[in-house]
Amino acid sequence: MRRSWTFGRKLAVAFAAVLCLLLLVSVIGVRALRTVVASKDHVIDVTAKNVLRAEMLRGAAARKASAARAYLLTQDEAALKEMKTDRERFEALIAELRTTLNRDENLNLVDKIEQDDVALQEQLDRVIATRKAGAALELVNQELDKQVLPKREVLERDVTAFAQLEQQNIEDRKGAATAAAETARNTVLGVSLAALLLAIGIALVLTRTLSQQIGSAVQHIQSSSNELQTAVNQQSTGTREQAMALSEITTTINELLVTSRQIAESAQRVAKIAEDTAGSAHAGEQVASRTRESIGGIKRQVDLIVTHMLDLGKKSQQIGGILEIISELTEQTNILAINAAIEAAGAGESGKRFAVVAEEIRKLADRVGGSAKDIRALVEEIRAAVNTTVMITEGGTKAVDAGSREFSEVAVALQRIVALVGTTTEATREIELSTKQQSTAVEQVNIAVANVAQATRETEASSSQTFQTASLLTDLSRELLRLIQPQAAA
Amino acid sequence: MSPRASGASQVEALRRAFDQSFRAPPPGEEEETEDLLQLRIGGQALAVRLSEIAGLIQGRTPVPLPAAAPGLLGLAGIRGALWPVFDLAVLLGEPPAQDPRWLLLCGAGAPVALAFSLFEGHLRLARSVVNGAAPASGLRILSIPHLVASLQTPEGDPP
Repeated sequence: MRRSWTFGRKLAVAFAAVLCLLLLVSVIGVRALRTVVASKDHVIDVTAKNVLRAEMLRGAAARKASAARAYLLTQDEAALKEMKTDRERFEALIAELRTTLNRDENLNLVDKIEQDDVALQEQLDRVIATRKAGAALELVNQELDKQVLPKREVLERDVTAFAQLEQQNIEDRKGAATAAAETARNTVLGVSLAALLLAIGIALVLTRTLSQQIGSAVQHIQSSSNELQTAVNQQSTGTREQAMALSEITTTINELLVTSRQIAESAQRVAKIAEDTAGSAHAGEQVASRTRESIGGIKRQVDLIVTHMLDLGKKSQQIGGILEIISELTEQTNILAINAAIEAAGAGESGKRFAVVAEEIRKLADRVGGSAKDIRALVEEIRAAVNTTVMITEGGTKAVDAGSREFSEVAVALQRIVALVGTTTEATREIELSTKQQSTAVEQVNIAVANVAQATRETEASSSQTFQTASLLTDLSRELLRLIQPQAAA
Repeated sequence: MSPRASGASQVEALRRAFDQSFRAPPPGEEEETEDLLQLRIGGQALAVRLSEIAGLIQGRTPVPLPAAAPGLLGLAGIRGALWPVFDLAVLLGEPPAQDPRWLLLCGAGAPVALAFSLFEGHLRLARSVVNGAAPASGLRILSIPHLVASLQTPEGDPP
């Protein structure tokens, strides 16, 4: 039996097989019963009637003989009519027998009976004619005993033989019917026994197959129930964790909502500040333009200062040249004073006063030299200061140029700032609008999360119910397994 | 104090000192002084007695001579005479001077000019100080006659 078949199909096939066997048994029984009934009916309808007809033949022959005797005794025409009637009945019975018989032996016997009757009737008619001719009764009796009585005995004997043959026929039919009934009974018994064995086999196969499959399925169900319990436990744990996470999400979403509103308010403030910034940047642009013009004036003044400083440097160089001359003169004076002192020393006493003068000239030259040195230092400082000032001024000029360029760039940058602030204002308004939409969306998300939390709680509750159901399913599968496979359940 | 005010006060001080020098009496005999010229040779301060030299000049470039005398730079025409010029640093055992533009004229004995690079000034010190000047004081008194005498040795006669 195929494993892929359903239980209903398997049961239907088994019941169909058993039903076919029952049908076979019934057909065989009906056929046997019909055979027996037909045999009995034939015995009753045909053979028994033939026996009866044989008796009626015997009676008709007897009545005909009696009517003939009555005519012979009384010469009453009515007796002849009665004899004629009896003869017609006799012939009618013969005709009926011919229609019901199909065996040659019986037909031959009927033909012989008819011939006997014809011979008897001829003898009887001749006797009756003799009587009608006026013969004496005794002669008639003798003739009757002599001619008619043997014919009648022959007829009697043949009718008796026919009756016995039909009786034998009845016995034969009866025996055949009984044999057919026996055969049918044995056949029905055999087929019934075979059907019973087949039904037992089918029941055993069906029971084993169903037990194996149902047991396997029940074991699977039991295993699945255990897994379902584990899964439900895990799902319950996960659901609780999910509920906690949803609670945290709700808190976070609320904070996000507050933050979104704060962002919207901040965006409004930023938009206001951006508008103010745009005004300030515009004013700054004008200030930068004016400052650039002022820087141009400063640059011209600085160029003038540089020119004067360069003149001052040239003058300082000229002063340095003059100081060089003074220093040279001082040094020469000093040398002259020293040489004068040497000469005065060589002049002896008369040169002492000259030595004093020479000494004073030398001191004066030293002092002038010191002053010239101081002046040179001052001039050097002035030149250094002038150079430094020129360098600084040139640096200032460059700085002013750079400042002028930078102010031009500042003006351009301020123009860009104005444009960018406009863009920023627009973007801030979009941010404000988006943040409000975001707040609305966050509120919707909050509602959705609340719904999800509710669904999670319901899921947790249903998980408990599922766990109970899985437990019941496990118990049921164990009980079912015990019903199907007690040894396995134990 | 402004530079203009400082310059005026300095001029006033110079004038006062100049006038004061003529008002003061000539120096007495109680304290004998000696005039010196301070110069620097090879990083050392030297002093030369003013009484030992005949003069101090600068800016005379000697004409080189084909001679092998140590320290001889050449001849220079000074005050109508030819003076042999020696490098004072070489004579004192120092490396040759880079720019010997000053010339000391040694008049006593033979006319010899000593060239050096750095002249630092005129000094007037007490004679006791000059005679007792020790090398520890940082000022070395150079004896010109002794130096000139060393040049007049048979091996080192000036040309």
